[in-house]
Amino acid sequence: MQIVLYITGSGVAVYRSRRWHEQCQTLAWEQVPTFMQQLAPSTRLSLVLDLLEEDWQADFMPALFPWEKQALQKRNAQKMQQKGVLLHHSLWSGVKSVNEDGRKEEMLITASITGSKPLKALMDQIQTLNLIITGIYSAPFLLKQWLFTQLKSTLKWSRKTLKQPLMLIVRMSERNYRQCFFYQGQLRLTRIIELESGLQINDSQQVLRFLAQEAKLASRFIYNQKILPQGTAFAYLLVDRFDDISVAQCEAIFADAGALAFQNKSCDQCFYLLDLAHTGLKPDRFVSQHLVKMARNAGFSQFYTTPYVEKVAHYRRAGLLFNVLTLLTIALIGFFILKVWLSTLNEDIQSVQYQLQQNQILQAKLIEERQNELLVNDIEGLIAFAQTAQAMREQPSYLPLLQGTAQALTPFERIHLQSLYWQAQEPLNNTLYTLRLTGVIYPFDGHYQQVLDLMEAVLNALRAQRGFYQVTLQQKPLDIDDSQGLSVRPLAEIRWLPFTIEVKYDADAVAQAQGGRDER
Amino acid sequence: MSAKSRRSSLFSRLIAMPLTIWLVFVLSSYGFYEVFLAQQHQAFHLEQQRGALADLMDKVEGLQADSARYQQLLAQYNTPAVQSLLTPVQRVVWMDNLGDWVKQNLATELTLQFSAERSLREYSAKLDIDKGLFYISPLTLGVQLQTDADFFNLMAFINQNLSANVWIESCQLARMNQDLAQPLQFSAQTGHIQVLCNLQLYRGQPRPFDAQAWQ
Repeated sequence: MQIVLYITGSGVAVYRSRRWHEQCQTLAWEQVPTFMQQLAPSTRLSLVLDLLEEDWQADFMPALFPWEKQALQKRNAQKMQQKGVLLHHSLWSGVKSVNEDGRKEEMLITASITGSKPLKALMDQIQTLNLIITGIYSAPFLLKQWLFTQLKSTLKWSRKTLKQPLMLIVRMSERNYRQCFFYQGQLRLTRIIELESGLQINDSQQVLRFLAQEAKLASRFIYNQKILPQGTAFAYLLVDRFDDISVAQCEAIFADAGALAFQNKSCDQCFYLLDLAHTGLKPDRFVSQHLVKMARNAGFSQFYTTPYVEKVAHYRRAGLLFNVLTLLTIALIGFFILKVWLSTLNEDIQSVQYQLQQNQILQAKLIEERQNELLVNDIEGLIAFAQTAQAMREQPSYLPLLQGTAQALTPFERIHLQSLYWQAQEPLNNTLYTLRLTGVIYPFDGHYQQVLDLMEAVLNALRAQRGFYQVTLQQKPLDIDDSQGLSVRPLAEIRWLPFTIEVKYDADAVAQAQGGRDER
Repeated sequence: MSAKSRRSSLFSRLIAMPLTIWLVFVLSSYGFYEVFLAQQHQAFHLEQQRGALADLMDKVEGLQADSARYQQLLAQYNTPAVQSLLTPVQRVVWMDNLGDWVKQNLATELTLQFSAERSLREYSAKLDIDKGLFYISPLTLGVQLQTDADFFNLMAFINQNLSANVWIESCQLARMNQDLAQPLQFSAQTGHIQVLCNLQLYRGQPRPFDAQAWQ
């Protein structure tokens, strides 16, 4: 959790940042030590100092080279510490001039806080408790930043306008105002104005008259101290909440109070009014709340520093650096892994390409060797066919066919074969045949029943032969099918009766039968 | 006026840092993506190369096996049985030799009908033969024999003297004298058995190794 302590002379306002809103707790100085002790160790603290004890001093120093300025600032710091200054910050303004001796000089602005015992006690307690302090900011300096960023764009002022002398009067809280005098773009003078106790804050006229009186005192001081040449005009910018008052009325009040009397030249516009509502602040908020926000968002930028604050800043920077380094390391490791993977892939590709080349060379060599040779499949086919042809020569396939036929028909004397025809059922297959037997039954004694019985016996004898199947009578000696017509010649003329038998033959069946018998 | 200043403030507080982180994230992601894409591309390339190598190695192994098989078969290929398959049909030899056999065996009416040689397109499942390897010459043989035993002698003669690669597609043996009442009479001018056979003469023609077809 981040806490901003807004420190004033009367006490400390504690601003805690919750998710979407901000909580404010006001503490008297007596309550602060107890409060600090209750803070969690992880709490991050920022301090905004809005103190009477804060002093802004501008000194012209001999113009130095950039590398010489650091040493001078160090000497100044040592002097300040010897004087008992609690906090200090010096910055080179860039405003240059030539002194009476003709020597070049540059303005060094020093902000310092001296003699604030409660603040010193608070700083000591922060260090004792080892709390994380992220920054110590000056309210006037934050106001300057606010003027040069947000107010500048709101008022549509140019950088040149901001270089002109300007008295900024800002309402910091309900009863507190702050006067800031800017000249040559630098904060030269600042002080807190507290409204008198009898003053009604709702009475704008009364408040303005009081502010005008204070402005008159301030302008007199500016001219007396020769911060600004006598009679040089400067503008007023009043930032407050206004309900029913105009710029002219304000200017008239300031003129009546004599705040403009020292200016012998009238400026084009000497008075500017800016309602706090136009700066984005909520109706119940004042500028101090905005400064708290600025301090919270300041990041690593510092204003006042102490050795302890610097130490904490170093630790924070180191922590951030380690976080960044961790992320970078993770990213680099991931990147490195991918790269290694990639290089491994490249090596694999090269290896594969090398193998490809080697195999291509080998392939070319083998192809060249095989170029004048014959196809292996063809040679295998020729060899297989030659073996089959040899087997066919040694054991002609038609032999068992004819032997079976002869064996079947020999017992039948009256069967006379006229022709014998066999045909392979498919090309180059010497195992499947169709056999057609054409013959006659001779002599015929005129009895058909005997002939039919004989034919049946012949068919059975053929069926009994190995490998013979589908034995069918194609042409019958006498057609006994009564669905067909039949014409019979005179018996005396019939000397023989013709018949045709068709037989299917399968040599493989014979081989299988022989194999089975051999096994038995 | 205040809206503009608020916008500027909001931008610096709410957008600037996330925008920077987003830019860094996008740039680093792009860097990773580029490397990852390159890796993917290389991985794909490697897969392709591996595929090509596997194909090539298969081809090379096939070639080596083919070559070894060729050397292994060479001895069998050079045997007379296989070499006889390469010999084309010699019609003159057929005519002259068969003429001599007919005279010697008192056979008559020898007829031979050679058809044009053609590529073998149909074949039996019993023989695994590549198309385009074998050519057949159909031959019709007709002759009248004295006895049926002469048929077997004729076939043996053909196999031994004319061609070892003859396939008998079909054959018919028919008795010349259909009148059973008449007794058989021997005559040198006419035979008793009419033989009509359809033969197929085979010839093989192995093709040379074709590198293009192989690849």
